Amino acid sequence: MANYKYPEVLVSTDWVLAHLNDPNVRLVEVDVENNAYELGHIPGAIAWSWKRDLSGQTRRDILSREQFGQLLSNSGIATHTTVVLYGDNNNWFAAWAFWQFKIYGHKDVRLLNGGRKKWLIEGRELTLDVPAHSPMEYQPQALDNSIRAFLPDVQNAVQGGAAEQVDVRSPQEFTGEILAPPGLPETAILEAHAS
Amino acid sequence: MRAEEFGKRPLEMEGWTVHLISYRIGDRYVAEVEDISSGVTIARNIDEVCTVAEEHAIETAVKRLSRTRRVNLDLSLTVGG
Repeated sequence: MANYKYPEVLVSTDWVLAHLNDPNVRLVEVDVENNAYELGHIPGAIAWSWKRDLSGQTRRDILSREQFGQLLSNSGIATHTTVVLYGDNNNWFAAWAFWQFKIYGHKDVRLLNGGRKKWLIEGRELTLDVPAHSPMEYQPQALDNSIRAFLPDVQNAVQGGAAEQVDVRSPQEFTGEILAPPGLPETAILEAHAS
Repeated sequence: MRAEEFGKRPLEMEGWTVHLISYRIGDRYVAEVEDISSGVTIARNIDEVCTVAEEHAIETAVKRLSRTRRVNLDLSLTVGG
C-alpha cells in the first residue's frame, strides 16, 4: 500500500480496495459527465453531479450550509464518516467537493489518488449496483471562509505581493491563448484573466 | 465487471493534440477524447462496437474543438492593470 505523506488527505486504490466493506467509509463519485458512473463504478460508491448536487442553482456559488447538510444527510453521511471522493476528469470536481467539505468543517474527507481513471486502468472491480444508504442527521460546521479567496482578496494579494499564486489551468489558458480548456465552452471573462 | 482492452493513442484534431482512449466495460465499448494539457474529457461515446464508439467520440470532439477560439492577448495584462 502506498505510503503517502498525508494519508489523511490522499488515499490509494489499494486503500480503497481494503476499505470497500468498511461501514464508516463512504465512497462518492463526483462526475462532470453523468453517464460515467452509470457505466460502472467502485462498489459501494454513490454518485454526485458537480452541477446538480454541488453548486448553487440560482447563483454561481458553492452550496449553502443548509444545502450541504441536506446533501450529506440524504447520502447517509454522518459527521464521523470517512468520506473518500473520486471522479472523472482527473478528479476535477472531486476536488471541488473536497473543498466544500473542508469549508463546512467535515473532519475526515480524502481524495482517491488518480480518481476514476486509475481505478479503471488498474482493472479493478466495477459494479452497476447503486447502494441505498439510510439518511443520517448531518449538521455542518459554520462556513469557514478562511480557505476561500474572493476577488478583492486576490487583488490585494497581487498588489501587495503577500501571497504566492498558482494557476492550475492548462498552459494555453495561463498564457491567455484560450479562455477555457480546449473543447469546453468559454466561461472565463477576458477582463478577469490573471497573468 | 472490469474495464478491459484499454487503448490510448494521440491524435491531432483542429490543431490540438488529444488522446483517444477506448476500453470495454461488460458488453459496451467506451471511447473518450481527452485534452492532454488539462485532462478534461472533451467527448465520450458508448457503443457495442469499439470503432463506432471511437468514430462518434471523434466526431463530437472535432465539433467542440472547432469552437475553441484562440485569441491574441497583450500578455502584460494583469488584474487591475
